[in-house]
Amino acid sequence: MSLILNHISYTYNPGTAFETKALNDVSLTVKDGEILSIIGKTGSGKSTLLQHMNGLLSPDEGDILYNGADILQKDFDKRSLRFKVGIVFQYPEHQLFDETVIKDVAFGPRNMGYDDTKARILAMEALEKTGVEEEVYEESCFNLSGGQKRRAAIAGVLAMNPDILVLDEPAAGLDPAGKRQILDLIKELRESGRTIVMVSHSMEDVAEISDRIAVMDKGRIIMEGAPSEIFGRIEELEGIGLSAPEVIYISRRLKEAGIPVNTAAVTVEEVAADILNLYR
Amino acid sequence: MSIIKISKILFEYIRRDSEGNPKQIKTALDHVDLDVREGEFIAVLGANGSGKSTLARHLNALLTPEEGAVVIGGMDTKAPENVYPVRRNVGMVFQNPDNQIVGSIVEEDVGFGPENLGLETTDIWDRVANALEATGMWACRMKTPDRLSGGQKQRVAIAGVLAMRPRVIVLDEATAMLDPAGRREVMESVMELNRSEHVTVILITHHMDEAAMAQRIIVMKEGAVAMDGAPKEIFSRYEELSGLGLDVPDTVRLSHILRSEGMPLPEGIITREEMASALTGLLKES
Repeated sequence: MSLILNHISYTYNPGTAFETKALNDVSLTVKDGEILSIIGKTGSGKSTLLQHMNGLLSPDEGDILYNGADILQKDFDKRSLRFKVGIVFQYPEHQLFDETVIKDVAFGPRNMGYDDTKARILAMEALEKTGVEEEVYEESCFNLSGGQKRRAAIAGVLAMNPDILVLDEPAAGLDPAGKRQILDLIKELRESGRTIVMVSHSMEDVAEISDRIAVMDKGRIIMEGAPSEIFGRIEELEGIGLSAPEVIYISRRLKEAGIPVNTAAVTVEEVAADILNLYR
Repeated sequence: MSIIKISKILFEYIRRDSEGNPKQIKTALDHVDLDVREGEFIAVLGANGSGKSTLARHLNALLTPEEGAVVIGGMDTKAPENVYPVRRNVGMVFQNPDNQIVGSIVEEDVGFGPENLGLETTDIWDRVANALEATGMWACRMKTPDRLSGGQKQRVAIAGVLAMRPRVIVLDEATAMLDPAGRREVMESVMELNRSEHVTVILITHHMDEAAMAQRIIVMKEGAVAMDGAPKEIFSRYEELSGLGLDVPDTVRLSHILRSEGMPLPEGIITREEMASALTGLLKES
């Protein structure tokens, strides 16, 4: 199973004074079971790219293949694609709307055609996975804390049991504990076989959980690779408004001082282990 | 001299049922005391719901305390005649830049506040020019705000606040929605204002690396001040912070791990420079 974006381009407001080429010949493959992170500064095309992944936007040029099927063909069932590729947008808690948490999360499965009982069961399973406490299932969404709301909103997409879960800035604006829960949740979902695509501005989060990173700038993908490869290119990242995790800057200074650090280490724990190894 | 003096303030959010009877009471600020000297750069940390934003809203009289007093530059925020002078002295910048910009071009937006003060036109232009210079947005003065990046929009919001010539700027998670370059721009602008214009800065944030740049950190817990001290001191209390659902900057966490594994690193390392030089020393010896 995979999602292939093949040479896609997309222009907003074509033929007007506001014409903006948001995607320019982008090719990207989302591999089965991986966590793929997309980084890039505001306006680089990340969110536009995400909206192509489940057919919300159709490219002006290029193809999109889901499990080998061309999703741009007229007879392709786009409705079912939206259940297979679930997108959680930025600040998804702003979209919570139903009377109670459980009803809100069950909305997706009901929309898929499940009866109330089955929809409720799917909602409960999703809420359990995202760690929302059972006591609040019947509460109003407005009574939840910021972190709980975010997890309930993710549960709303998860309840539809998508193969690929696409998350736009899933931890933005949360306090450190809330953010920890989201990152752990994403890792767990991957462990249970789900494919994850994540957009984030936090280089530390990206370094910690990604298998692969794609870097966007001005509507193009300009780098693609493992976290250690990407974060080894600090100057290029800084040149396009990004940065690297703090510990990478430290290990880079050590390297310049002639210490043989392992440049594959990208998280605090990995760098700590490497330094201890050199020290002993 | 203290610019902000908060004594024993209490504030509660009361949820009422349909008949207006109180159903649930949440104490957001529980007898908080705080003294801020003019020119200080303070970061406020705390888990969601710890009272940070409620405290911030007390600083410019958006909220007033039920008990206790908030005094800004000698003015009690509870006195109705003080509300506008207090708001001129304390400017607020919030999380979402799109909700704070009113003008259709940048200089117009920045001029909105001073215009409302009824100043002379030349005076208004002086203030707008100064505010745009101070935030590095002069070159963008004729642009429409929607053509700006997130970091630029937040700097316009800060310039708008600055044009009011406030003595205090409060930033309530103002970098939360920004990309790394945007965060850097906003932090540099704010630090520069603090250094050269002596503006008092209160920075509410979830980013520990931003808090590390402040002179003083206040940690809130359940509506009270749980810790108050210099970054080096606060971040050395690693376990306590974790217990409050908070974190430390990555450099401090790295140092914590290495020390607990027996590496004799000095205490109080916060910056990457300090860390790199301490480690170089130790690793070259071994």
